[in-house]
Amino acid sequence: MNKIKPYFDAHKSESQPLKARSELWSKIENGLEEKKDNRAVFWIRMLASAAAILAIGFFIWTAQPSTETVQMAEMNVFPDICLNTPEGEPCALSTVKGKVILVNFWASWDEVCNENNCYVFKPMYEKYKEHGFTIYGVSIDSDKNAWVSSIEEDQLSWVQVSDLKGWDSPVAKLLNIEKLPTSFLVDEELKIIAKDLDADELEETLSKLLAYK
Amino acid sequence: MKTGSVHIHQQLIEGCKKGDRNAQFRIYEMYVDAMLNTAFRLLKNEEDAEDVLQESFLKAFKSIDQVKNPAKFGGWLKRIVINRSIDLLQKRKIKFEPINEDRMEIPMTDEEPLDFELPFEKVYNILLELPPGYRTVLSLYLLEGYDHQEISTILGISKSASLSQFHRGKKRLIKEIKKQTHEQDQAILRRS
Repeated sequence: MNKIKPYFDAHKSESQPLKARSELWSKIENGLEEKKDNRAVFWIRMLASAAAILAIGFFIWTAQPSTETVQMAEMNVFPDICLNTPEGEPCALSTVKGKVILVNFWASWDEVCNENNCYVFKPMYEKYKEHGFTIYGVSIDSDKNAWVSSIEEDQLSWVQVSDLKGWDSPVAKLLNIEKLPTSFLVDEELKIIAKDLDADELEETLSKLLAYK
Repeated sequence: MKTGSVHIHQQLIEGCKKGDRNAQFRIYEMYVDAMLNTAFRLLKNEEDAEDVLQESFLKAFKSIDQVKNPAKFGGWLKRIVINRSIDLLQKRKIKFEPINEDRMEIPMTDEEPLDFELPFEKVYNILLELPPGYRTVLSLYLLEGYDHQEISTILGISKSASLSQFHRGKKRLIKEIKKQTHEQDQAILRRS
């Protein structure tokens, strides 16, 4: 197609003029230490909230019918879940228009989720939305403001729903969501195509399913 | 890579997953210079490139559990570095869609052979001096080895936009190369 590519291929190994300064590693190391501290704080908070949840849960436990968790291995049709949008409108998964739908469990406080939203799902959504791909974002947030501002800040334009119950969300329990992000790829009949695809696998699957040229 | 070094690399990635600081440092050392150059080509600012690297390595070590295949680690890390760099450029309102520029004066076809005697270092610097929209697409294609499908995903533009941006950028690059070759010839003439 062009002669410039072979020219660069032949020479590009010559173009590594920069060397990183040694301070860079200490900055990264500091960051890693901080992350550790954050993690400690996180666990203390988790323990505290778990204790609180247990206490509250104990009182209302008798009134709650036990929810059965769906066995993922045996499940091949995704349940038609229905949660509220930020505007408070209930939105059932089955009413979402798309040939292939990514049901993505996320939370505004999880950096990896935010990263995925911005750098994996958003470009995929932009690229394949005209071809029948869409996303149904289910948030495990409990703070409405944090949830809504994360959507606005990252300019996520697909359907967003949440029951704002955090990890107590009956939907998260029903589906046995244990880590974030967790995602399911389903077709228009809500049949499960795949679970937890990484960026490359998602792209490959979408381009195959939606015959994108 | 030889089998032995693949094995060591795999062990280091496993070490990183366990949070072993020594393994993290060795992985850092292995990739840092290449990644710095990748970020620099996009950002054209060493400080920005280092900031991007700091963030990228932290993010990589934090979510290294996502790496299912250790052999893919380098490509995965590079995507993080590139995503962060593009993000920074976008914050500065750099557009990756083709610019509506007036016709280039030099008519050029793809078949025209590249005959210039400019050291690669100069060609590389010309590429870095191009407007950011061109620089990004050209360096992703020519230096980082992505195809237009991948570039369109990275930049969030259509494949055809990536292609046309590339062609315009290439014309501009060749025009600049010719200009500098001419200047170089003139200088040689003057000296003799």
